[in-house]
Amino acid sequence: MSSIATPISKHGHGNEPAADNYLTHGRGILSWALTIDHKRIGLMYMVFVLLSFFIGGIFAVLLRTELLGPGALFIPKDEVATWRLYNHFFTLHGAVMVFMFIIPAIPAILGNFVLPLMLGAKDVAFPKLNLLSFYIYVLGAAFMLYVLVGGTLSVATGGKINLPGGFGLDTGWTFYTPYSTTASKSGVVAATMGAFILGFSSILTGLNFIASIHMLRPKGMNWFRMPLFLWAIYSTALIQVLATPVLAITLLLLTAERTLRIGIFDPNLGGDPVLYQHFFWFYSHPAVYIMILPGFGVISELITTFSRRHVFGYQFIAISSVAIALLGFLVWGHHMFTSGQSDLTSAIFSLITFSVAIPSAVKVFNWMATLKGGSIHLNTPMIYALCFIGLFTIGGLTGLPLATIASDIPLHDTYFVVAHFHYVMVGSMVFAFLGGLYYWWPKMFGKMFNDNVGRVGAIILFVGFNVTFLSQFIMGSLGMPRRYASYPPEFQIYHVISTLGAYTLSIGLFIAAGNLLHALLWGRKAPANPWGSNTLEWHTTSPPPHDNFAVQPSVGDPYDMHNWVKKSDEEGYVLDPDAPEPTSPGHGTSVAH
Amino acid sequence: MLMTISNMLAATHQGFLLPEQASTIARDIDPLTWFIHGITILFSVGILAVTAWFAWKYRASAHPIADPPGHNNMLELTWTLIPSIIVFICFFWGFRVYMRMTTPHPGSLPITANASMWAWQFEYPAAFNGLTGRGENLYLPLNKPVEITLNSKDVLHALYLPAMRVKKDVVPGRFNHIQVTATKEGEFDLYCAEYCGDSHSNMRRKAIVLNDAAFHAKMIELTDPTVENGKPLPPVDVGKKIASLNGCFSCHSVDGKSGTGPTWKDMYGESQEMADGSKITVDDNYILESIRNPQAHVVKGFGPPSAMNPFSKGQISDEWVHKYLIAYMKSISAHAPKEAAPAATAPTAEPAKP
Repeated sequence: MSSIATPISKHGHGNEPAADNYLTHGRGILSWALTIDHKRIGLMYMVFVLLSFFIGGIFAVLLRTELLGPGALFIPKDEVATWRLYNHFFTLHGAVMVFMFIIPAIPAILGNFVLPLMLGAKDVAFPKLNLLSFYIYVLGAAFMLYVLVGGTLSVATGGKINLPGGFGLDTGWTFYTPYSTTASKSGVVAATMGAFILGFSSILTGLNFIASIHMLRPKGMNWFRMPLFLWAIYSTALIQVLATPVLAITLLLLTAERTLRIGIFDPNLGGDPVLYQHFFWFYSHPAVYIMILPGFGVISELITTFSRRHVFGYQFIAISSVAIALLGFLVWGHHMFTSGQSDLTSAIFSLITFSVAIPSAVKVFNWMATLKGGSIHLNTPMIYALCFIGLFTIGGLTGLPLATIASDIPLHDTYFVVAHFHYVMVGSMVFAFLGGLYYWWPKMFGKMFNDNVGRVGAIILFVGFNVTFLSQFIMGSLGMPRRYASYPPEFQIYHVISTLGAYTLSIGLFIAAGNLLHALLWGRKAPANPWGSNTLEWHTTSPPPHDNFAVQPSVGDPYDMHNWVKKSDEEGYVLDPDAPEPTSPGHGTSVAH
Repeated sequence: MLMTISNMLAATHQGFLLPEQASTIARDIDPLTWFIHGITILFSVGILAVTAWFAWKYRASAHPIADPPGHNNMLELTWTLIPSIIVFICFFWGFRVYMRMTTPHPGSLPITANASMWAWQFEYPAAFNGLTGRGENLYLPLNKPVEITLNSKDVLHALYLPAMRVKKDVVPGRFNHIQVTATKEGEFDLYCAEYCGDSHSNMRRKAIVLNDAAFHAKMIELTDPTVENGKPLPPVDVGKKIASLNGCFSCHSVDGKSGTGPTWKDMYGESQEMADGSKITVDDNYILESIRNPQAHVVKGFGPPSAMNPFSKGQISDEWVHKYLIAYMKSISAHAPKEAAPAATAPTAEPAKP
């Protein structure tokens, strides 16, 4: 224990004057820039990742606005210029959102902040490596920013100022060859270098989390006493470490082909464009699980905490995360059913893809069984969690017609696919992220947010999201191809509805952002444990001291919350060793099933 | 405002959630798609409703003390097995239909689809007039199996016929195939479904299904651009048609707008600055050279990486260039000499290669 931390009572009621916490421990810009405190690194990630989310969101709004009309809306005099602009919008929306927001969001922000606390540890296993991953992220983001600024300058000056190799990006976030290596005039090399560097940040973070979970679990916390969030982060980290290097190699090969004309993917140089797709999806399909698995972990925490009930089927939820992570490596070919890969290959990939559906379904059913018989508190994080269940169900089930080879053929590369993955990436992952952010916000900053505003924001987001993407399912099913700057007029009504939904969705996001910022500045003081959760991060003050725990908390079943009794809104939940246990034969405080 | 909305509504498709069925395979795929959509809707609504019901029934004010922890292996087994059975049905059904849609029919009519940035060119077998017919729209015979061979000249494209429920990537360096039997006469949408750059969303054409007699007549017309509906066309119109059939207009405008290539309006007879700074007056020989060897002299501001593909004599003969294409380009240029007598001889020599 550090002598700097203010001694606090054993149970951390949160009423003690927080003379020193991690936010006040050390002042000045250098104390942040050179910090190796996982909590501060998590917050620094938060600033950059949320900024990326904002930039990616601007592109989303721009591209949805262009799609209000079937022709060229932005530059009616010059159709081709409008289409070119649109192609940059959707590419940058995808690239920024995937590489700079979705992949790092939950692991780098919430994982960094919460993981060591959940382990009752002072920090991650390799704190300096953690800071290095952050700076690698910033470096990678700088490359992407170069492309963005280059594109913006070029458009704003009418092509007079062009940064070398930095004219936006128009390849789609997938960088499919040979377009990306031969035909595109945009900043492909700078952008792939950015993604390449961002990948290393992801790998090192994953490595750090795996090591932390193996090495730093406190006495008494065996694998099946870990919070489910850690199971999810662990599964995610496995993918980050094993799959990301393949993306790095692929992007290097792509750069080598584009700059040095080494034939890997371009058939004119003896290469094979379908090989690129295999390489790319070998990473990028597991990457889908990098995005969604941590969300599952957050939702497991939220559902059980706000149901005030031990999570149902703990082991099934835990193992299903690992199963999804491992099976996720074997399904990449379902992105290529129309590419001309052999029929047998397609059949095998189809079958394995279905196998991923099973552990996903198991999770949803276990969450619902946790709700049943709970004592459900509809705080803002829980609203997000409940929305998540609905949206993830739709997102997951609409994967079925895409996994079935025959029905995928007409749906492939249409808006049906766009809607499907947005239900998973946004409807699920972003909802889980926002739910988690609300849930841990009091722990991060020691401030409570306004629950009513939070709920309203969540519901507006939910409505706006469904309006945006349900209409895309319909137009996709009717044949509207994705990545189309202009389209036949029969699709206009769906595009208009979708765009109005996107504006509503944006309002929901601004309400969430405003509410959290308001809490940060003017929120009332948060107790140590406002929600009555029993995972270890709630056993310390809000915000935690510099080295996390003044007194090592004792490890129990993370979901046995019966000892936490609510005193008042100001004091939150406090430990009461005499609280009556829930009565059930054969079940006590142990996690045993 | 209301007018706009009613216009948009009037423009929507006739089919409900799926486009109209216009091929044999559409009839096989649609029941499968409806089966899966049905399961999706059933489970989504069910799970949403039950979740909302639980959230209400077990709200803290009505149910202040949570039930003790529970677990139930039978339940876990049930909700593992039922989804497993459902997805296995989806897989097996989907695999069966997929095999049917990819198996070639003996005696299929072979059609070649050539895709390039950003045009389609469909080639029909040399069974008519002994010539290869070409066109930018896809003509399909009613109720006859067709095998479309896909060929890309540059980057990835994908041929997508929503009403036929078929789609395949057009991959450079490899031939992919689509098997399709159209079952409904009429015009259907034809899209490029794989992103291919600036004008990707403009790579939309039509698939036109014709009955036997009409298809035969169309084939004859396609193999001979000088004739339309059985009547000879004036040379200027033939030139326009050849340009259209070969996809020239996807890059070259005729209204003065700059596209991926320079506009043809007022180009003939005009002095143009080249990429290397030299000046060339656009004449017969420059046009022929630009068709056979487009990179030899590129107009300033155009060219790589959006490079034009060369056209061989087999695609557009010297005679066609001279008699029709040039006549057409002259007709839309203010700089072309008026009443220019047709040259007595076609250009005999290829322009000197730089």
